[in-house]
Amino acid sequence: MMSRALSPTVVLPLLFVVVAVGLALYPLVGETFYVRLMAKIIVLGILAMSLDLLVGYTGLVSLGHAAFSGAAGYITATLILKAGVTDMALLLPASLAVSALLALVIGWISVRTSGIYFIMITLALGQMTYLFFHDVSYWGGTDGISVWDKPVLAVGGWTLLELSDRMVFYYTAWACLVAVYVGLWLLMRAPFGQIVRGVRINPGRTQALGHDVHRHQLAVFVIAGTIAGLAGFLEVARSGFMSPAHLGWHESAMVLIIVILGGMGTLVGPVIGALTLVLLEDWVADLTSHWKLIIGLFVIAVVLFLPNGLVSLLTRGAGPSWLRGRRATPAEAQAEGGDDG
Amino acid sequence: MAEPMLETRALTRRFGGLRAVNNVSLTFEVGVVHAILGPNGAGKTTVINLLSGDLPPTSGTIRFRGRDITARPVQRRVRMGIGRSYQKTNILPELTCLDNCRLGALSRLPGGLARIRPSRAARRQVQARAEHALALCGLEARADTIAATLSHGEKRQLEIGMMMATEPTLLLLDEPLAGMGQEESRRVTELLRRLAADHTMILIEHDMDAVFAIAERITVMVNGAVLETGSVEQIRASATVREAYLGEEAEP
Amino acid sequence: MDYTYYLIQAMNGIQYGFLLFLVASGLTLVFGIMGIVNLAHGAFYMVGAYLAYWLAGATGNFFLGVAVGVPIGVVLGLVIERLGFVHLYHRDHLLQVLFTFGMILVIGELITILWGDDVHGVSVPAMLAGSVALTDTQAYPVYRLFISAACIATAGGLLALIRYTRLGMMIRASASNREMVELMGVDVNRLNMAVFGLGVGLAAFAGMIAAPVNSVHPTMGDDILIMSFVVVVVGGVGSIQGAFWGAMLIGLADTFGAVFLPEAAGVVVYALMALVLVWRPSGLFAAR
Repeated sequence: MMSRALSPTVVLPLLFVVVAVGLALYPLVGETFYVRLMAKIIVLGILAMSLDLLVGYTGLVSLGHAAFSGAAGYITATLILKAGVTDMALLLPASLAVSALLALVIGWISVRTSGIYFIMITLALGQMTYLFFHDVSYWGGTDGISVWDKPVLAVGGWTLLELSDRMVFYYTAWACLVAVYVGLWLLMRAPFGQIVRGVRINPGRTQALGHDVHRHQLAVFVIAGTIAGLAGFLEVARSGFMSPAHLGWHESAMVLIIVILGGMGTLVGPVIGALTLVLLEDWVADLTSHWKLIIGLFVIAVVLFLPNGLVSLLTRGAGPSWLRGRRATPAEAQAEGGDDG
Repeated sequence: MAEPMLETRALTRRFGGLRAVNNVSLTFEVGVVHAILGPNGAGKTTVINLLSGDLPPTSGTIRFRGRDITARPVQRRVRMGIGRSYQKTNILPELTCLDNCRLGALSRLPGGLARIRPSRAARRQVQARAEHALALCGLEARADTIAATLSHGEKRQLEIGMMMATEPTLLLLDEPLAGMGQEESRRVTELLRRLAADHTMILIEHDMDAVFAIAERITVMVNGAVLETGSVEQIRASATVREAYLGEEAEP
Repeated sequence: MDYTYYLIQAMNGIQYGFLLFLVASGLTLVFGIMGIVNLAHGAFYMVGAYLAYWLAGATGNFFLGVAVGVPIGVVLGLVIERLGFVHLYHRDHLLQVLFTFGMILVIGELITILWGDDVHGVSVPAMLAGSVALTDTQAYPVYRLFISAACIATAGGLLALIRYTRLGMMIRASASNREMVELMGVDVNRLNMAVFGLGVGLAAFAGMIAAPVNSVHPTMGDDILIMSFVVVVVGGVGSIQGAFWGAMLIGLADTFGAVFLPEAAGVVVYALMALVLVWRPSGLFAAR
């Protein structure tokens, strides 16, 4: 146990520094296979951080988040395959724009609702996006799209980044991870983040203090969707492959598990969650072909025994208090509010 | 006569078949503390909810300083200067008292980039407003206390502080003294009296001592409709009011 | 393509709608009464289909298989409720979602272990194998009519149960005010078990009778789950009536979407849902 002097506001950024430095140094010592696995973890970590922004910071439980990374991935893969575009200065903005636009549309419909409705609607609209890429033959059907060329960033004849090089990709993705973390950390400390925190804790009261709740929720939804788009772009640059399964709700649910496993509302937790789950999957898949059974039991165990995530073991209660125990029944909530004369 | 602060015309709100507020036309003058009295179920809280924008009216209009605000959402009304406090304590329990007030102060920040990278001056202004509001409600010593751990009376004070942080000109107060002990009541009444000096107030309160101590005009509502409006003396003297409502409480 | 073709499509749509209703009504009840978002509900539909596949093969009689299978499904559901769901009451929806997602993985994998990854078929029982001639060239399979009839009977039974029995009274009271029912001294544990068992029974039954027209495979639970969610959202969470009309609307929209817009068939239903929600954010028959 840590001493009480270490508050989460100090521990969490410190923890991220440790994780980031670890990831930066790993390729110097690790085997190729595990370096590849780490690259996958970094991309997944970016996706999970973006979902944490929604779930942990804004209280919006989205079960369709993979739609945004998937749509961006499809745009990247299709532009490479069908239009022969490899210029990163074109690919990246295009895929981010698509995921942002999609998030704007889905978010506009979804934030009008809350709670269980929000979960169901993001699930359904995410599934609609899945079916769009699955059913329309232009996108390659169930098999998806494979590309051999990788994005390249060149300025005036100077090649700056060639993502086909595994190490170049690794450190580009790493830089993205760090940039996303720092960006979101700053954003959540800014007035915008303070209002968003109010929206999560008590939306009604936050509105009664002069803030447009839906507009803030939508803004967060679009930001999260755009960052997910970055993860989708990186995924195609990493694996050269995009298929409908990347958008399916099982993928969305797994990202959600990653966020919870690591510790929601902490930003660094999702990265640790991605690390843990990918390594676990890799290990279990070696043991048995029925690894999904083990993962399923693991998920259940996390929900029952570690709902505040791994990070909470370090910070003792850094997680949001509303997850910690039972939900208060209305009767209790009323008792909390005092009698009303 | 000067333009009124707030004016309702034939304001009506139905819940199914029930007319919770029925054809209420009231004028609230600038700088006046106007109390709304009535038995439980008279529609007082519904009136506050209609004025704050928490509920849309079934029919009728609301004008704030001459402008029709009937269709404006809550947050726009707050930014125009209408603050409200709730009957049931409605705070953000996991935040500190100062952060609770800061959330109110942030509503005065312009939108857009200023909310992501505010200037140093803007930051200072928000901080100053939040601290000022906290001082107003008498909780400056509790700035860093988590709101959930406050006593009931302190939570009620914070409730008022959060409202004040939005810098309202019109205060909608829904039973600010609800559930308070005598000493707490006295303190908050004193606070309200101080705020009354430079704010317009619409006040619902069951504590008659407090109402008679700070209110200048009183409206009595029964069954969703206005029974009578007048000065404190008029209402005290009114036979109709005595009969309909005050009778039971005013007589020993 | 004459009108008979559309008639057949309409009948298919209605039949699908009935199946959806059986699954969605359980989903909406479990949420309305128990306050639980149950992603594993579709898995019970799949379990029903596999039980039908297994028992019809083992007993040689489809109806006997269903008669034995429904109780097995319900018992299985109750065991899961006692072991797992009891931990979820009053917990956050997020945790319920993840817990039941974990269950989907476990149930799906157990089924793969027991029956493999392959797509299985269940043959239509001989006595319902024929077709009804609609015109000289077009006919409608008797078994599909049987599905609709069985669903109507079940739905009727469900509505009667909710309207006229003591259990139904508690369900209705609980849907509108759970705390009140708890305070009235109703044994909430037993009520929850009854509701959950009922939901599982309906889903498993739907999976069984649908098995002969749909193939039986390990992802079938997902498909019906998402569709049922759409039905519940469109109809209004917690409302049986909403679930019924939502199911009909979605069943028909899905069927005719496939007829008129084959490339975008999957999207039609969701577009419809989005439209309904823009118009009425809490569904057509919102309980509250």
